[in-house]
Amino acid sequence: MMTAPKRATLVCLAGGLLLAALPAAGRPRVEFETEGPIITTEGHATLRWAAVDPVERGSVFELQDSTDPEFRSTHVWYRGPDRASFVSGLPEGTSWFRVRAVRGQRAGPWSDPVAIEVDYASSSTLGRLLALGAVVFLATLVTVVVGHRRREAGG
Amino acid sequence: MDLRSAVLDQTTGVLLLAVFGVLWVALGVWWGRNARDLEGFMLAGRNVGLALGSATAMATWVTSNTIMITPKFALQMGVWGMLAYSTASFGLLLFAPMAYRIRSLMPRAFTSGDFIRLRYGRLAWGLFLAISLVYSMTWLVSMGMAGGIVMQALSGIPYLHGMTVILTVCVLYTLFGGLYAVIGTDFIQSVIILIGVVVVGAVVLQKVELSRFHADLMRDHPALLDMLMPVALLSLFNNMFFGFGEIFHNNVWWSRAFAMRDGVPHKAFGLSALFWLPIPVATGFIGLCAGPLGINVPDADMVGPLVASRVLGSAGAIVVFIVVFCSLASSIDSLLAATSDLLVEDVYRKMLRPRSSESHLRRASTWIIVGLGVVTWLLCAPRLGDLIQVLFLSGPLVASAIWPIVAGLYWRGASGLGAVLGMLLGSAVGLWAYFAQGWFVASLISAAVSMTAVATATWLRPSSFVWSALDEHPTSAVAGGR
Repeated sequence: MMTAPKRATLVCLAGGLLLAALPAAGRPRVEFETEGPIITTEGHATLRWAAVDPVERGSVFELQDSTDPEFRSTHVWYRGPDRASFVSGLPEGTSWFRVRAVRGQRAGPWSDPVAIEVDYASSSTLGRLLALGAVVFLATLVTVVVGHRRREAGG
Repeated sequence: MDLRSAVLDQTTGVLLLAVFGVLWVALGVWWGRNARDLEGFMLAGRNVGLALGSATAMATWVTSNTIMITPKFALQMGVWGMLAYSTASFGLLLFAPMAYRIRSLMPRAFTSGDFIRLRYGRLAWGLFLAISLVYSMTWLVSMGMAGGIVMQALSGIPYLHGMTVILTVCVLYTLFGGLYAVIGTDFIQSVIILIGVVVVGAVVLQKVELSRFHADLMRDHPALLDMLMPVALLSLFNNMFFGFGEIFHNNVWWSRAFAMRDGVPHKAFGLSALFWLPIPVATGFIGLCAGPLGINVPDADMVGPLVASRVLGSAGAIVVFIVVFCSLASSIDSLLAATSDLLVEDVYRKMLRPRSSESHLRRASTWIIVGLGVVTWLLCAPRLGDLIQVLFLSGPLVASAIWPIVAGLYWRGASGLGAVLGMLLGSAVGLWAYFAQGWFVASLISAAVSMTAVATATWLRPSSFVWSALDEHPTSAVAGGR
């Protein structure tokens, strides 16, 4: 015959196993589809995420960004039912993003963060290419305009 | 918003597609009565006036990219992004005096290939045709795919069905009506596009508080307001040269120059540039408003329709649907007509069957239009990756043709050697730049290399070309400018 302490232990064990077996009800895990870091020279990227655990109806996703990998100061980029977001206009450097599922007052755990590293072209490269563009544009414009005027004048 | 759930119900989408499809084919049949001979079919009798000429140039240049990609550009690169796209109007503006020159030198010509063949010889001609056909096919396929994707996103019509219907409608009315139908429908489409863009732009402007607009962008997308954003600045020139290359070389524009009455081409292209210029600014602004309006964008390619439908609801989605249909049709029909002209004149007649009769060529033209439609469908059907990337890959190819064309029209000393080197080296280095540096410099670098090659060859080994050699029918009257 089972003693009371043994019975209590068994109940606790069963309860623990049951809780572990249940999906994290209202606290599903979400993960980005890309591990990162995402490196871009254009300052934008599309972040996609998927729920690892089933998500309850009425749940939304909260996407946060921060310039700090520890997320000490954060900004909510998006909150809603979509499972992707196009982020753009990011400043040079590294921005971190994380996402979680939220239903009412209950929020799931944050995903592993993903870093987006923005590396714009250097000023010297930019300057040289812009100068080249200006030269080719002006040469084309002058050739057409001067050529047109000369031909109109019968030259 | 989950873009997988369409804004319009499928019945509305199918109805719109059916109404416009039937109407456009009927117009093609009706206008096709005027196409009594080959010149009528290919060049609308060389009698297009200023209003139709301006409208067809403007409508053809408003592609689905103008409606769909410009908002994406603005979302990616901010204010410079939408201005970068609008620099494509400079190509139309600069083509205005060039059209005058082309008409004066070659009043009875049919294609841009005729110019290259007579000006530079067969080697340059072959290379030019290869570049032009590759570009035309990528443009056709990108338009076909865009049609299927947008129809599906807006109304749930399956991709394959929407794409097939759009291609079939365009093939049919181009087949029946030739350039008469193309230009006629372009006029109607240009009016619809202008009204649609103005309406959506005006409503979006009303919904956005401009004071918050700037603050929201500064907080969430600071780089979009950075006037020194590198990729945006570089895309300004890149897009411009891509546009120059597309317009200067492609038979879509040359056929219009040949189709217009004397004294009309330069005015029509100038006017079309002015009408076209504000369209990417308006559509780009719509894309830039996504953030300030609190609209999440899961897919940047769909930001335009997304914002329009959020702001205007189903009405906005209908407007976008119609505008996109018109922009697609106005470009696909032009491409079909111009590419078939190039293949009939330059390949079939000049290379394969020089003694073909006019009726034979008309039949060949029919089969080629159908063939182009079928090939396009086959390439669109599998819905391959990112077609916009493929289209931008053709940027360095067409940009390499800018200087062979410009120098060929105005410099007597420009030679076939320079043209061949310009196109070969420009394309090769431009393609290298595409993969090594990025899409936003490829066309710029291609144009620069091509210009250097053409100018150097002209300087070291100038030709002494006789302009009258460009007129293959010297008994016709020639305007001034020799």
